[in-house]
Amino acid sequence: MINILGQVAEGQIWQPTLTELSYFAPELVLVATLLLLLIGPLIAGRGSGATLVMVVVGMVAAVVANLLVMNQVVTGPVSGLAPAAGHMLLVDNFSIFFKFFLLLFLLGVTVLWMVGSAATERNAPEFYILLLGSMLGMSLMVSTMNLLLMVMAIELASLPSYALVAFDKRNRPGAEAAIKYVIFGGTCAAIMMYGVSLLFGVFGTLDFTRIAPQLVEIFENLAQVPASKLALLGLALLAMGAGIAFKISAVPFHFWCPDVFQGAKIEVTTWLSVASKAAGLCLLLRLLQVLAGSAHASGHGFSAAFYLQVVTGVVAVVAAVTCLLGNLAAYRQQSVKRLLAYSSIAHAGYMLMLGAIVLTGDVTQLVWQTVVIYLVMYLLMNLGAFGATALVIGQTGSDQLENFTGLGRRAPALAAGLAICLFSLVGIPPLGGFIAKWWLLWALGQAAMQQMHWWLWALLLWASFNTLLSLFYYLRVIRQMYLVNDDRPGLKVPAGGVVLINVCALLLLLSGTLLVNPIRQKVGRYTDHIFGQSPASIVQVNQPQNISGNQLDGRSRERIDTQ
Amino acid sequence: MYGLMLILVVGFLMAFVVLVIGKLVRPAVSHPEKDTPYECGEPPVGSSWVQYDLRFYTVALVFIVFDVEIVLLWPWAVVYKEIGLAAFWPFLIFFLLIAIPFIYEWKCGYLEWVRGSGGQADEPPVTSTESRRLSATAKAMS
Repeated sequence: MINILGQVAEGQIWQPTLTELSYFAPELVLVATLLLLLIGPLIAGRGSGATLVMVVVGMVAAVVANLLVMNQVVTGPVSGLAPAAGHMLLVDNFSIFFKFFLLLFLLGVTVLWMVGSAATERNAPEFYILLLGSMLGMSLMVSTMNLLLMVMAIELASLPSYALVAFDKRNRPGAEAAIKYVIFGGTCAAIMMYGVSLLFGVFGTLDFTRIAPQLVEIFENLAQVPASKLALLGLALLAMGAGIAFKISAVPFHFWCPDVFQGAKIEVTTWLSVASKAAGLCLLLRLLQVLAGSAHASGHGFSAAFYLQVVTGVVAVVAAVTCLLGNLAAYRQQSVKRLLAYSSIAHAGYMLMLGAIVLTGDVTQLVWQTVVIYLVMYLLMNLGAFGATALVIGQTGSDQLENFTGLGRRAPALAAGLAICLFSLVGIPPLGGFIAKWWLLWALGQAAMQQMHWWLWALLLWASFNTLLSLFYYLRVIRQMYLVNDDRPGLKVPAGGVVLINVCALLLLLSGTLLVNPIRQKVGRYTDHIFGQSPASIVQVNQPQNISGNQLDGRSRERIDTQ
Repeated sequence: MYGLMLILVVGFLMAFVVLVIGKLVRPAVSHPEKDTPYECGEPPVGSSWVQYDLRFYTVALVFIVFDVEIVLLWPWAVVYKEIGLAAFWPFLIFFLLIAIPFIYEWKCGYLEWVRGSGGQADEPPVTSTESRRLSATAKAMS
């Protein structure tokens, strides 16, 4: 307390300025929408319509706020909202992209919800409070370099998800899935916090941009470092990785995924299948990026640091196993939700391969472009596939594969849209999924060309081989829709849902053909200048003016060139 | 490193060895009395699988939220006089973030102790197997 009073006397109590707070505007708008959703229903009633109006107002405000912030960070990232810790909140083109991505996805899920369950939903405000709460957590996950905020963001994204899975009280599979999800997620979070606390104990800071250079230094002087410290660091990094792998649902932390996807309401399943994985993946990529940048800054680079190769190897192996397991387990599924759950595990594996090559450091820009393209395509494909499944569930009451029999005749427009989304999930040209996979293989190939490591070529071949594997189980659904036929009556699917699915399908078709070039140019918008002037550098432009002299060294207007 | 290993190994052995010795040495005389929950002889009443009223959890949750708020409010209150307005605004926002959910909760009736069951079934009665087991225990003890 004495210390605090001393700082007060010298005017050192840190407070965010309005400029700094303005970078935080999209998140603040989300918080305000959450509060509006709590208070509004007391005045306007708890109907689905009133809730939707409030959500749409919040979303529009968030888009506007995001646009305003976007123009401020277009030339380089801004980091702030922290006293001396730094990088507590990082706003750059990529985090802006991710917030747009989440908002677009929220729009899709909202349309799905309106078509499916808005009419019978009695707790609409609570549904959106939880949904927006997890969205807030996810957008924070992608905009931080601070391990404390990282842990909090992951929790903020997870806790509402648990409640969302069990949202329908009378749905017993949902309750069971939620219990599994909570126990698994809670354990992973505890392990992650243990790892983060070990890192804090070793390095004395939670800012990963400061931890990474020290980590690289330790990796490069292995001989001088005591074995116990190395063991401690290995444990810490593994434990931290466990928490992130849980969010990505990478093997061996994927067990929650099929059960939760099957038990939860389909809107929630759709939300978790894309948003939660994307946030975890982007967080992991950011951390690995800083590590790669630090390795380059130290002058030795990737090939000199054996331990970096170990980290890369772990990520690569996890990615490869995740792909294979997802693709193999999807074969025997009779429930389409479960099949799509395994498909999403496989896609998480493909995207995780980018994590393996980002550490090589030579293809940084390409990796981030691939992430942007892959995520957008993955959003469209999954929204379409899960949306079509939602419509079939809505009409037939279950998601068993036999309910898709003869869908090509019973609901032609729906079946056509779903077929395009499924073909795109395989990665068949000329669809968006092919473009995404093409960029992925291109990035892998570039990394392999430049590093000349045999395992990078192996990873590339592995991704292609897994694409081939995945063809068969997606085709099973399509075969059931078009080639198997009996005399089930036609389905009267809601027009709104069919429009949503066909918009997704149309966008996938366009992005694979006419829009290839515009997309390529547009992607640069979100991946250029992520890292300031040079790749992987993070610029801290704000304050802190009121830090005393000895603390000021290299801190105010600091530029941590980590590459 | 070796110290840590020593603690792990000795800790494991101490627990393990004591249990094994106990297993080897103790006489194995089974008696229904020994399987009852209370060795002091108190006969247990009813099943231990009691379903708690959900209202307890609601109150407990609210209690935790406000308990934590008090913890955060305390240091703020201590230094408030010195810091002044710089401390006032952040805490007002923080307080609003807690107060608005509180109003929500109040309005939704979660603070009412006596309210409708909301369609939930009453606590299930003790099942027949359960009561049979209980009477068997009572017989064995008498």
